[in-house]
Amino acid sequence: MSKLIKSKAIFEIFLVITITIYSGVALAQPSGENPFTCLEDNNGINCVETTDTSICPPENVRFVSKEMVPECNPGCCVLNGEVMDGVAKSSCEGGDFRPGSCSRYQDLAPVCCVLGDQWKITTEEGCYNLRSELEYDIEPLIEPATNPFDCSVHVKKDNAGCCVREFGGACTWEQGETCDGEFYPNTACNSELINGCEKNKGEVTASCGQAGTNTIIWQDSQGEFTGAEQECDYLGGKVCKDGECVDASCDSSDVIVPAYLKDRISGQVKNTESWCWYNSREGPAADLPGAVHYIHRCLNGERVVEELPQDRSEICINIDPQGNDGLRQATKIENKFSSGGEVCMDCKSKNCCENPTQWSCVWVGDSETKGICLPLSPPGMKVTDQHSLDFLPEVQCGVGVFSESHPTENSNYGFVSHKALWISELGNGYDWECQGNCNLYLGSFAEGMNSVCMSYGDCGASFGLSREWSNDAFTRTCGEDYNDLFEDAEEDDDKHGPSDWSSKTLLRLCKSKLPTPSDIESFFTPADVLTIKELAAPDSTKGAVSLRKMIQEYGDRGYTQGETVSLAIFVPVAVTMALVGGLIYAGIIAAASVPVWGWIAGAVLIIAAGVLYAIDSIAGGEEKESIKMTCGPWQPPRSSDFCYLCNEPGEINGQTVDLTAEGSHPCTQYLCLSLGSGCKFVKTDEENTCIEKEETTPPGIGPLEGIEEINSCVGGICKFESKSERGFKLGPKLQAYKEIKLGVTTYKTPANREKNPTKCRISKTSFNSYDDIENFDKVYEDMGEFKINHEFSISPSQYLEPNKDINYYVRCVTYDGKENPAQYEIKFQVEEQVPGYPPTYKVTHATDFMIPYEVNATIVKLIPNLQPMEICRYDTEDKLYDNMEKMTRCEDICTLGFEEINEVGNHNYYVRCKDHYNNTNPQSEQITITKTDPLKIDSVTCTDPLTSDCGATERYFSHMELTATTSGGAESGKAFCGGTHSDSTEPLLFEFSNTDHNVHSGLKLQGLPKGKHTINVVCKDKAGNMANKLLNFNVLKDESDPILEKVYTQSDQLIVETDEESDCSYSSTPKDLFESPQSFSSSDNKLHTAPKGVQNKFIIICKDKFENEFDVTNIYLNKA
Amino acid sequence: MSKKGQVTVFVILGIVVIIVLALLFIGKDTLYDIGSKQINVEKKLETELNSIENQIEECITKDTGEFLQKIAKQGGYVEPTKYISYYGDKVSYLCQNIPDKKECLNSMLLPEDIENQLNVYLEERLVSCVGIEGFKSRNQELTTGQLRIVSKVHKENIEIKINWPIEISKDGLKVTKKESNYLIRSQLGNILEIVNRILNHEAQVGMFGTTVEIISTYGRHIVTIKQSNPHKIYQVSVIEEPNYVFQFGVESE
Repeated sequence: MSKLIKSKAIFEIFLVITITIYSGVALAQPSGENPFTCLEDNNGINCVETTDTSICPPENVRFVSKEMVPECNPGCCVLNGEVMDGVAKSSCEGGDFRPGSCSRYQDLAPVCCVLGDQWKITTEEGCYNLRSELEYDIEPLIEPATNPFDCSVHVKKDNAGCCVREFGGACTWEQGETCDGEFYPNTACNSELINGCEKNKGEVTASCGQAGTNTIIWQDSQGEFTGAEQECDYLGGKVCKDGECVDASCDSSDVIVPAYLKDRISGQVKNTESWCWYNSREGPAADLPGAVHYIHRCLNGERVVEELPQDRSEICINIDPQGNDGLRQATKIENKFSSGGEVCMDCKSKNCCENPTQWSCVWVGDSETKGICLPLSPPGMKVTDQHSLDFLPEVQCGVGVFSESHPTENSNYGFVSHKALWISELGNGYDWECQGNCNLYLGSFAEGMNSVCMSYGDCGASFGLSREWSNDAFTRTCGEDYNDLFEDAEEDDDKHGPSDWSSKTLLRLCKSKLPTPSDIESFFTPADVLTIKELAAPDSTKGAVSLRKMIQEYGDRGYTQGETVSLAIFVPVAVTMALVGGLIYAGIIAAASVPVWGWIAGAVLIIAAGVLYAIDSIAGGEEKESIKMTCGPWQPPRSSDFCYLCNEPGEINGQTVDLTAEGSHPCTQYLCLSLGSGCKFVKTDEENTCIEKEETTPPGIGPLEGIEEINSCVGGICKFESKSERGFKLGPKLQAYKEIKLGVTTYKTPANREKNPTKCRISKTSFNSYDDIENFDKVYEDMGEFKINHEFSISPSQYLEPNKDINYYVRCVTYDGKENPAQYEIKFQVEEQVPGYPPTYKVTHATDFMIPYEVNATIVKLIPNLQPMEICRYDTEDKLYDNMEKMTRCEDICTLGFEEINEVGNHNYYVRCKDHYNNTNPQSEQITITKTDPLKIDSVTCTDPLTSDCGATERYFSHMELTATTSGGAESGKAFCGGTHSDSTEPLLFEFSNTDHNVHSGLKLQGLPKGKHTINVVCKDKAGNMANKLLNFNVLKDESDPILEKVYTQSDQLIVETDEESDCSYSSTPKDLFESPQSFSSSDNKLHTAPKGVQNKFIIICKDKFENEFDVTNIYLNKA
Repeated sequence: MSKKGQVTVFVILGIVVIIVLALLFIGKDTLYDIGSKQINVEKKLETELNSIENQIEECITKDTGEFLQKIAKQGGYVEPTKYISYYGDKVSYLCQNIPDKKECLNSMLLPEDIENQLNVYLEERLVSCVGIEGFKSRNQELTTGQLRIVSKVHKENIEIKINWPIEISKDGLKVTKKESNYLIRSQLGNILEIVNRILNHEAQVGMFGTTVEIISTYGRHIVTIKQSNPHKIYQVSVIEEPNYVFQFGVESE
């Protein structure tokens, strides 16, 4: 029995161990689908992220990304004297691996190494390696140079000749000063004049000099330079090839020249000449969606085309030749608009915008602070392997001036809103007239704003390269729901300007989407803007969009954001008030001048003024209307008609369009997707093509799936009271003050109920087609991708008239533009539920009811809890609703503007609101706004090993740690602090690691290069107060070793003097110097003393405060 | 000695001479045969060895050519492990993406990487390419040792050392061959220098200035960039061998 138990136990142990090992092995094997890092693959490539287990030996598998594998950290690798950057530590086997970039190490700086008539750009060590490799005895010439051309000019040609060495019998061509044999200046080693170089007297061969030269050189039979050379005429199109000067220029059949350069490039093109090829106009706010830059070159008699990145992260610039004999060149520059999560478009000063260490953007504006910051070219689409169907811009469009965003909308969208002032008074017959910011309604203003939107990336309304105008992505909306302006019956387009136009005219003008521009060709004609000589002048009037014009259209108002625009400066003296004032003034004059009758006349006039004022108060009015401009990602045209243009030339409106540049430009994913939402990019091993997606039919529309269950109707669940191809009615009545969710689902056809993605627009008013924007009153609109379900919700705070049919109208369109022929309707009613209580609401404020010291006005928003408010009144004193001085008409949310907050401290406001059923708040809501003290930076310390004084303008270290203390502001100095590397206050490039209270520490600056620096320490508090402190200093990094100036003995002391303050130590053996060194005594760190003792040898080393130290030095004392 | 004795000695010598001459006359053909046969065998062996040498040279030239074409299309590797498909070619990434960075991780392409592959490539193919078994079937006495190939990539050529002991023997005669050197003209070494310079720039700043490269070398270096969303393909050649275009990939996000 016990034997059996023992056997069982042994078997179980075996089983457990086997399973453990097996599981371990099984788990350690990559699954074949999950990515892993292969430390070294079968080809010896290190740190490969892959899913392919077959390329990686099991012991090299690491189940983390390569960034988490220490051996994969990139650094500098010095291998056989060659310097390689960004190499994984594990790849540098056998070499010298150093952390960080190679540029950090001085000894690795590239130098020009000249050995005889040969040269190479390498490191100093590499140069000596080369000398050994070439078995040269001569000392190399080492000069600074970073490119072949600069290096080749260091090859000395004077005093060169044949050096005949007796031993070894070698005859070499070299410099006289390096020859340690018999030297024959300017004489070839194969010359008959020289004896002893018989081996060199064979056949002479011609070859080309090293890269960086364009010369034929003749060498003797031993490969020694004979001193004979011939320069090939580069400007004449000649290039050295196989020991001959060959003509490498291109004729007109070899290259293709774009139309914009045809007047400058004609006939023969010289070798290496190059130019930019653009598919549309180019530059700031210019490149169209789908446009990629190319460099075309003539190289060795052939056309060579270089393709720049599809996201336009690099763009092409032309460099105009200097004079007729110059070479036309094109080069690429980085189109960098972001850095550390910030984008240049958010800059509000020229200084910030044109900071070359951050980005390459241009400031377009009238002054240092009034303007906008634009990328050199609008960033293109973000292209990834994963996305082959969606058109995704590289940058989100909600930046810069469009940086406001609605929480429920796509973060790719941003908007800006400004207000216009409208007045209705006696002077204009109680007709509404625009009195301030009226240009906001004009088409030219929308065009200007759209240009700004376009400049941020593939955003806004724009042409595609198929020459179709797509305007879905830029909208200007105006006209509030309950706006009195709609009551204006007039339309008076015939008057002279916007201030004379009626509200209806302006609202109609305002609402339409941007129409197709008339100057189409200018969008497709390169304007030579990105040319070196032009680049320096952002005011250039060249190009279809004059940046100057754009900024004029944008105007000063655009520089400040939406609701903070003060209307006071635009309000003219209203006619009525002028009249009232005039009457009172006349009355007083009359009363003062003529007794009795004058008094009577005066009284009449003053009464008339009072009556007039009363009438005006009742019949007149003032409206501030919000005009909102939304900027979103550009949408490709809804068609598949022009997909083929990606693959081959075509004809549009009788004009030949060749986006392939005679087959030189392969179809790109970016171009394909931009040609229409009906286009599909197909990438195969053989080619890239753009094909049409399957043709669609007009879509079918039905109620959103599950719509009955997700809403609450009177009596419980909702049901369809009617349902057909034309729409549905949800009933019975929907419950009041509850969120309503509505929408539609789209299908292939009305008959085929297979779900199909479309884009839909849902309007409060009937509209004739998907693109009938004039009649489209937006409730919902799909932006971006095509969807199956199109859902929107109505918040309980939105007022819906009860017991009355509420209709929404739906139109949907497929990716190739097929639209539902009949308008689809959503109908429902809301129950009437008269609230028996006044409205309640939540009060919100952006900065927790505190405002900065320099701001005198702010906005508070009231969000209804249940029934919406119709009107809210407010005052600085607690009064009855009707007596309160200020009033605002509410939409979903009520916005109250508090002004004239001049003194520091608390400011009370009292608010009462009324709903649509005349329920009025019986008591006021008290809102306290606190105007805060200014924020101050009390102190900043800049600590390096020498000093903590930020006032030290000359600093000897490339690193320092900053601390700061703050006081005042919203919370007794509590603030968030960081800094910029210029005098600009934004964007913050670094922040204190310990901040958000009144002491800020842990901001470490390191790697500061030698030279002048400006650091701006910037702090902001909760209320928005900002304080900053500029630090200017010059880094004077000491990189020289201390010099041993004197060594002598005095009585029993050894005295060593150094030229600068140093720490010196000594020992009698090299080992002790590093393991147990003894220190010299010194009072000033320049004169160092040590007892002579019995030793006769001192090994010393001195190190200055920057850790520079001279070589170990031996000093022998004569003890005799 | 008596005169009689002297005559006898001469007679005997004469008879011996006559016999020898007779024998020589009778066996002259046989003796000639033996001599000429020895010469023929040696010649034949040498011819055979020359044929093998010629075949080796032909194979080295052909296989190295194939190898060079293959690695030029595939970014330096015969069997790419991490690559991008570009117009039918598996183009190796020589610089790998680092998430959220423009710069990439430099895999470098050193001459040693090429040399190791070339050695293996030739070793795998040479025996069958030369058809040594065919030679063996013709020559019973043909023996071969272990084949070892060592190559060295220079700027303008590739040096290939073949260490392959081959011995052919017959009738006690043998000819041997041990080591031979070949020089293949190729600009690969020059191209590798440019490739590593490009990789260095990509790893350091995330881009490479093709215009500067072309201008500063008077167009004798040709560097072109093609895009393959979102990655880059570099194509490099030099004027001395413009049709030899070496391409490699730089990975992006």
